[in-house]
Amino acid sequence: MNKNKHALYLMISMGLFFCAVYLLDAYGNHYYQRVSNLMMIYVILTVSLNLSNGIVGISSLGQIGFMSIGAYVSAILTLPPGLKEHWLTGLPHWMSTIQSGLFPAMILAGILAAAIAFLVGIVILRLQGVFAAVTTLGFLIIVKVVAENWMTVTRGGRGISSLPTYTNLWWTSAVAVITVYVVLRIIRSPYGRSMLAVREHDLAAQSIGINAPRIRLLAFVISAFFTAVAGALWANLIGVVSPGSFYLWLTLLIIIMMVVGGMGSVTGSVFSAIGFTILLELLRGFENKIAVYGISSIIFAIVFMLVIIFHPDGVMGDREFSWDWFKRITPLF
Amino acid sequence: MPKQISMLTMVMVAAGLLMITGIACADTVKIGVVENLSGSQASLDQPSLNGVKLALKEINDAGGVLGKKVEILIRDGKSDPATLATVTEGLMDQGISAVTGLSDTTMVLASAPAAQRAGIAFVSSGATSPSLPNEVGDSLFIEPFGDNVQAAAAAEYAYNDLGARSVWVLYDKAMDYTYLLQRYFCDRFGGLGGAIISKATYQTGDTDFRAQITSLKAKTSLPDILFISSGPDDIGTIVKQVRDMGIKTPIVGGDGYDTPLLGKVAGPTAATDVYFTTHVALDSIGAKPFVQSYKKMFGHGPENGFAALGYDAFNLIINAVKNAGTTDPKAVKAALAATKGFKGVTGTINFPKGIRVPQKSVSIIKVEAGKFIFVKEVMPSEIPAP
Amino acid sequence: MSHTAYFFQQFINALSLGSIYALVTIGLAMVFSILRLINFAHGDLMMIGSYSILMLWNAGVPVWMAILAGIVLCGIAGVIMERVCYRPLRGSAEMTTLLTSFAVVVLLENGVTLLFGPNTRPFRILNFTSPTFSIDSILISKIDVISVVLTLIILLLTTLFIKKTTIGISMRAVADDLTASHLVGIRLNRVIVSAFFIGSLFAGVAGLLWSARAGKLYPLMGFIPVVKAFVAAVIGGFGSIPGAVVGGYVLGFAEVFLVALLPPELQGYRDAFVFILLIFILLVRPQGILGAKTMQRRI
Repeated sequence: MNKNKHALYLMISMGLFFCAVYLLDAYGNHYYQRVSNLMMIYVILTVSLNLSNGIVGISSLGQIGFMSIGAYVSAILTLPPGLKEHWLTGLPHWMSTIQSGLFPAMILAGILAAAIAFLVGIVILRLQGVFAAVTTLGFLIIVKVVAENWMTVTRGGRGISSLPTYTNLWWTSAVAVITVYVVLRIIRSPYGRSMLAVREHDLAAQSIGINAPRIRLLAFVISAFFTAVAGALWANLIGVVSPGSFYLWLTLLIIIMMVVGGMGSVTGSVFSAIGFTILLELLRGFENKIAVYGISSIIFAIVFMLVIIFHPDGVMGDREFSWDWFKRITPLF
Repeated sequence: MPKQISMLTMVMVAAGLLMITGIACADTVKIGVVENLSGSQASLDQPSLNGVKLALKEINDAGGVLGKKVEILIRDGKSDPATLATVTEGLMDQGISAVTGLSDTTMVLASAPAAQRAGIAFVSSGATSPSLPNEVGDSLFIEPFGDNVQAAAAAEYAYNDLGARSVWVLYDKAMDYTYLLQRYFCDRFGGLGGAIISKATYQTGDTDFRAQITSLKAKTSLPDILFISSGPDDIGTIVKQVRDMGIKTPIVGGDGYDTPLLGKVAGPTAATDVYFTTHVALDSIGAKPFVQSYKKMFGHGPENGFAALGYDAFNLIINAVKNAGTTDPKAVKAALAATKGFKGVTGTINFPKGIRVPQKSVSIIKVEAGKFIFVKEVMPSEIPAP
Repeated sequence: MSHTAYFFQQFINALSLGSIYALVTIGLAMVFSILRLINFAHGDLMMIGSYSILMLWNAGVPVWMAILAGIVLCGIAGVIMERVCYRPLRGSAEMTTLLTSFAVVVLLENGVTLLFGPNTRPFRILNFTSPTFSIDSILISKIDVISVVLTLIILLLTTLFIKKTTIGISMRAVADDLTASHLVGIRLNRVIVSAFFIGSLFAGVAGLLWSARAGKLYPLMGFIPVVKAFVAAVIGGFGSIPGAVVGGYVLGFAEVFLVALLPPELQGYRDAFVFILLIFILLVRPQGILGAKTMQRRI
């Protein structure tokens, strides 16, 4: 009975969500559309980061490197052929004559990043804690350095511009919903239970027959896939990719969103990404009013520190959102 | 207990923010200014904003334009393309007539498409990549000369006036500007018959260039000149380390050198026999009033060339508003595209039909004992294609 | 310039650069060994130190006074940082404190940008860098000598300090086992505060040398040194003071000789090679060159 009810609520809220997407996409102004697009991209990034860092407990600082890879793959695939021949002379001939749409670009970006994550993961995931943090940070820097130097494929520090802006609210919200769904399904599967076991106690998990390195690698690869897809969406939203776009600020932003939402809570990540995007926009309005630029970043850092000090596990810890919460507020549910 | 307090604080902050976000409306000419006022680009964009503020004050003191006061809406892009794109988008429905700002190509490419979609003119104050306007569309104008023009001028000056036949190149690999500048320079220098003996690179933020300089010293014979393509924050350190390593060869570069930091960081003994191309000699008679009012308003002289460029870009827009006779963005854009003989601090600006990169002459500056000396104003005879 | 001279010149360059890296790393390692805290804001302490020195000097304080006061202020800033930002988090996961230090970086960099403006400022307090010695076309400047000597002195003093003094011994005990040393009556706060104070003093010294070398300072100057120190610390063995010095020199030599030996078109990949080297070292010797086995998680 309860289960049916929840399914109904879920359907109603999804219906409302996509109605909102429809209205915003058709009638909203560009500013709200852009903020919502970024919000959805942040949801994807935060949820997939949560899979590797929160749920499996890999201390990765390098996920944005996969976003960079995804954005570049998509940029190279979707750039109009005329420009490609002119700018990206290092591409094989067949590649410089085709122009792909967003969907194939997204999927290829995801697959390539997943493949790289697989190779990188085999090496890096043998390390733990701060060492994993250092090496993944190293991975992020390596990606940036390669993007800055591989002139004939990435155009170096100049970046690839004039990308078709395919990304709209339908794409970002659909991918966000899919990401959340997939990650939730993974957590509720036997694999997900193993992941939690690995995070809580590596050795104990191994002693009951869980192949911990494999579980970790699996989460890392899936996370990289969705992160790269978000990168592809980002590239075709902003219209220009450059090495510096995918670096420490974004890394920090996404990690903070994840930690505040609660490491281990997927719905926490969703709420946190949405909340922080709105908070940042409000702070920006405030900043423009008082004309003290940079104050929004300072407030942002302070909010993070307050949350970390008073709610060390984030707002939601590792609990998930449940419809039962509303029971406490109103007897309607 | 602390839990509730922290939650309460956050709710109150959010509510407070909501309340003060409302738009004051008045009958003014509104111009958008997007700059990176925090983050890695801030040292370039803050002077540019100062230039805008100075121009704004002068215009309003003189009674504004079209009988109205001018108002600027400043937005901070935080040196992050996504933030920049968002804040530019947010400006579009604020009733602005045009937008200006930004000193870096990649940043302009993230920001300007929003203006292009809205049909509002975007005048980039500092980005110098000549292909930029065509990459965005008919709404984007650049205010300085293109890098191809200044690099060609530098190459011709080096070849003809300094008598240089060989060059060693050092450039910053992480920046569009530094990459393009050295590429155009090598194109033109090679075209004249000069030899490029080798190239070395560094990354923005490096503070030690001695490994690169030592490898130059190991060459069997030193080149006639060094072409060092660098941004304003690094050049002082590089010149200093080159001279400290005992290399007295002339150094040539672009408008990134146009900052008092060159003399101050490198020191007078090192900052000698350095030549660069720029928009205007800040100690020339034409630029005097600008420099003086800047000093009066901010307590110090212009930090780098971007200050004068920001000042000019803003005046250029106001000039277009005056010529258009209306604040309608479409008319302002058309008036901008038809700009003829606009006299700014950084030179005279014309936009020939369909071209949104001005044809400006280039000033050659010589640095002697840390002091900038104006050499001459040139127009290169041959300009590499963008 | 002969081949030998070329090699030695690059050797000097590497030694000098490595010394500065080592200095930054010692401070980082000191705090890490005790708290398991990777303090990304360590670089910003360097920035605070340099700004303090410059501001004092601009205000007319004599050079040496300004330098001493700036370094001490840097130490105090470190203590405040510990009290305000890290003490409330004592006992949290390593990742939590690491992220907090990132937030501190955002706070300090934006704060200093607001206070002093984003612009690069010249830093020519001491003319350290002009070459003074020259042996067979090899140039050695004052700052090379000062960097190397200072690093060695600080290494020596630190080693003596943690070997001989009570508080130093307590530090080692805390680094070994925080809970147990608390149990035997070591005053934890005193030990941690002194580690932060000393580490931050070193950051002040490193900031001075870093800015003097570059001849400039700016609000974001701290990030690159701290990332390098981070790498150096891992190479040398995180938490070990001699390891920090070894790591600093390995990194300095790697950077200089990569640029010296790589063809120009590959020079840009320098940092990528450095990190590949780092990953390689970690895989072969996860505890770093001089690290102890105890870094492994206790179960």
